[in-house]
Amino acid sequence: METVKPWLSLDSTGESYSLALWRGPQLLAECSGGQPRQHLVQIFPALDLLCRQSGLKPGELRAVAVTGGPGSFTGVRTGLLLAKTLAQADDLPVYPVDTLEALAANAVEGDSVVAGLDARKGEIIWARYRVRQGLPSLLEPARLSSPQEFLDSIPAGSLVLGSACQAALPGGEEVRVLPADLWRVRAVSVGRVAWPRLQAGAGTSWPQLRPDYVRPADVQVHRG
Amino acid sequence: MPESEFQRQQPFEPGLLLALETSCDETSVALLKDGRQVLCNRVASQEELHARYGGVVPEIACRRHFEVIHPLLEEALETTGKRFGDLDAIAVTHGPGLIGAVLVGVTVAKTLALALDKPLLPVNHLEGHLFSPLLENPELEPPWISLLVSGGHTCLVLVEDWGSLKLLGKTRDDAAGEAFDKVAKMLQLGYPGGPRVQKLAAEGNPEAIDLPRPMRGQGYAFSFSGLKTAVHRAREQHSPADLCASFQQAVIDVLVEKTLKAAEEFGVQRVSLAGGVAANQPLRQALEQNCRQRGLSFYVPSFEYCTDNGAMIAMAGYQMARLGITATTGLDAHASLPLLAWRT
Ligand SMILES: [Zn+2]
Repeated sequence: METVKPWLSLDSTGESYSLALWRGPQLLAECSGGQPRQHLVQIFPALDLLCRQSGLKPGELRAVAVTGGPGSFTGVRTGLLLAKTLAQADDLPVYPVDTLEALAANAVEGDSVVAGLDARKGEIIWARYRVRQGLPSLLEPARLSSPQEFLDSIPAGSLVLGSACQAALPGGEEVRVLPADLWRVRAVSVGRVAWPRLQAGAGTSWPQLRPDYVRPADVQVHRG
Repeated sequence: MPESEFQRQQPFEPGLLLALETSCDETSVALLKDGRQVLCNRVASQEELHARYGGVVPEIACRRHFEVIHPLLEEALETTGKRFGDLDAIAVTHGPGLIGAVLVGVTVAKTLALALDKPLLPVNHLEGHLFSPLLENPELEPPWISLLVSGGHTCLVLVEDWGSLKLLGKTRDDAAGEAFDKVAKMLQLGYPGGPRVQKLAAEGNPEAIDLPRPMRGQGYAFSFSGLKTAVHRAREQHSPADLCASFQQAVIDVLVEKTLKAAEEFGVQRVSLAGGVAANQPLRQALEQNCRQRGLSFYVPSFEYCTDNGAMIAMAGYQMARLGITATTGLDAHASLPLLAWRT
């Protein structure tokens, strides 16, 4: 049933947002953009426009795939809240995708793809995948490392991508850093990763959606 | 304030209005029927979550809002036998407040408006408090003077007309509720301070200590930080009960005096009290008594509608619908937001 119905994939965990509309495995339209802290203002007009261009109403969407972290706390919440609310209002399944997995999917092919994000506080969060036809399978689960640990952990022959490269740029002959335009998570990659799960009907209902914050909340009392 | 956040349309009166409030440490969902009947007003307070830190921790607040808002929404619809398709409009607090917390409500509200193709009503949290007396007093009509006192705000507003509010004055430093919290902390009474100070004050003598009445006779501005310092200086020589009683009386004196002065200056016959500190019994009584002596009508919401709640946001949203002001898809969340931002 999911194969012909329109669905949405999105990412807002980083500095830019990205949206893609699909019908089954077919990409209908996509858009990306934005500045940090502007997701709330920019995503909704973009989604509205994207739907209109595709001749769809947001209420006609039948599934949502979304990155649930790691990422900025607010960014992770924004995407998940959007997905959760759509799911609740229209009784849709949600397909949460790990941000690092979606990032690795940008590599399309690779025996060892290291996807890393700048986790702030001088740390990097990263994981390693094998990627075939744009679909990652996990080789090493996500962990937090110092930039040096991160650099030391990358096996020879790996492809590396993500904002981690801003904090710790791998050098040398044996590691290849993918072009910087591939360092952003894309809704198209989120959708590609989610598609086999949609086909299998392996969705989550909204009450089960949990953000992957990675870190506990900063305990700093608000002073008005 | 980007103009593109608001748009004007034909005024309308939403039959079933859903409202979301997440601006601080209360998550609330309410349903208002025909602008009169509160079908439901669910509030999930995070008070105990923040108590150990002695104040609201923004990221903890955001995470809790994220967890509870959808279940609250579900409960609100279930208990009233309504469905998403029955909603005629959605109102949401888009400021002022903790920015990340406001974002939660606004994101959910914008998604609902888009998915259900219904108008979105962008409510200023303070306008929610201002219009809260209407929930139980539908006969209340402008003009009236509103004293708005809470943990985050202390101000006097002249409600000239439904779409015309005049901020007469506000606090230059601490909000009244904040001063209560700080005094409670100083005396190690715990958090939140308001109810604890009030309780202890009942056992003390309000005239025991000659505390200042800050900004008395100086227009409509308030200042409570000096008062807090005076309490600090007096704390060695006096009992906590006397300190609380005298402090509370000083706050009440200033609030009552300025409110009555405003009613007189603007020739207004109606006075209302709103906001979390409006739950303070001695303040309610003092203002009510003084209003009665002067022949002024006095309005104060019941406790449920004084603290942050969705019903008041629904009521303020309803007034916006009647003026034909709705939000665009570009609506943003704001840490600070002037009254009637859509007019600017
Ligand atoms: Zn409030």
